[in-house]
Amino acid sequence: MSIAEISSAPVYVTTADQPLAAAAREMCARGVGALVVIDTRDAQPRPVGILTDRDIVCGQVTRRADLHCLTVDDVMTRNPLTLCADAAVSEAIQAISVRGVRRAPVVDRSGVLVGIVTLDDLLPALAQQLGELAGIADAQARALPAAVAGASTRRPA
Amino acid sequence: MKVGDLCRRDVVSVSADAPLSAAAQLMCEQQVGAVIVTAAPADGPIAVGVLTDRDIVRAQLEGTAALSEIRVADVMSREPLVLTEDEQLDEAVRRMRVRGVRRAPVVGAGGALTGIISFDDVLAHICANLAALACLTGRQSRRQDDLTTYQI
Repeated sequence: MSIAEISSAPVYVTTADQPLAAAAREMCARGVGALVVIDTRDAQPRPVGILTDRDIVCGQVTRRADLHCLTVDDVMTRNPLTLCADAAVSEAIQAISVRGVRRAPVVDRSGVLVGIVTLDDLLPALAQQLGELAGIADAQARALPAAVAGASTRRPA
Repeated sequence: MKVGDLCRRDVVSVSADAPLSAAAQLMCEQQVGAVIVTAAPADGPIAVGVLTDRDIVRAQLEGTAALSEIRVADVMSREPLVLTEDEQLDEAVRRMRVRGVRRAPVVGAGGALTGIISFDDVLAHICANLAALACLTGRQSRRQDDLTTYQI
């Protein structure tokens, strides 16, 4: 299973020069916990940062400044981990666990933003695989008594 | 497995009377996205709410007051799902799903706050069980290989 199959699209974006309050308002309106910050100098959107609720709160604390006086650039996390859309789910899990992040922008082979993948997207993918495995075990357990019953009827009297 | 066996005892909590600036500072220092809000009656602290980083941001967008001028009690989620230590874990997870919450305060028999359990704690627990199972099946299949070798 590839990242492209499980990542969320559309992905909501902002730019580094935006007022932080505007980005925060966008997050609230969209009901998302993160925006991908994209480079405006390029015609194609390329991720340069990520902005989360945590960044907004902690950015204000460390900068001793109010939300309304800051820009996205002041508090965003730079150089985010990006995942290639055709990477396997297991590669993605390895990469996010090494970086210790819960979400990562997804890019195509030329680095253009195409989506975002979160822990919440990865978990159902794994749970589904696990469910399939449990299904095999369950089917075999059900088949066993039938096979035994079949064997006993064929036994000569 | 009971909630009390898995929950964390190092609860990051803040008083309902505290200003949001203090809660924000605490959340950043402790690197958590949510804190349990407590009130302190004479017989021990009780959980009266949960405050997340999103609650703080939303409060800032709704008004013009500075963080130091807003009280935690004014923006927290009230009447949180409260789990008891002796509750079975699967039942607790079901209740968390029904309420749509990722974390819940845990209380002892007397109702006093004693811990917190989160989505991440439960996930880690399930994964540890799965890893133990995988280890077991790995050992068994090796033993199977040994037996096959002997038969030859």
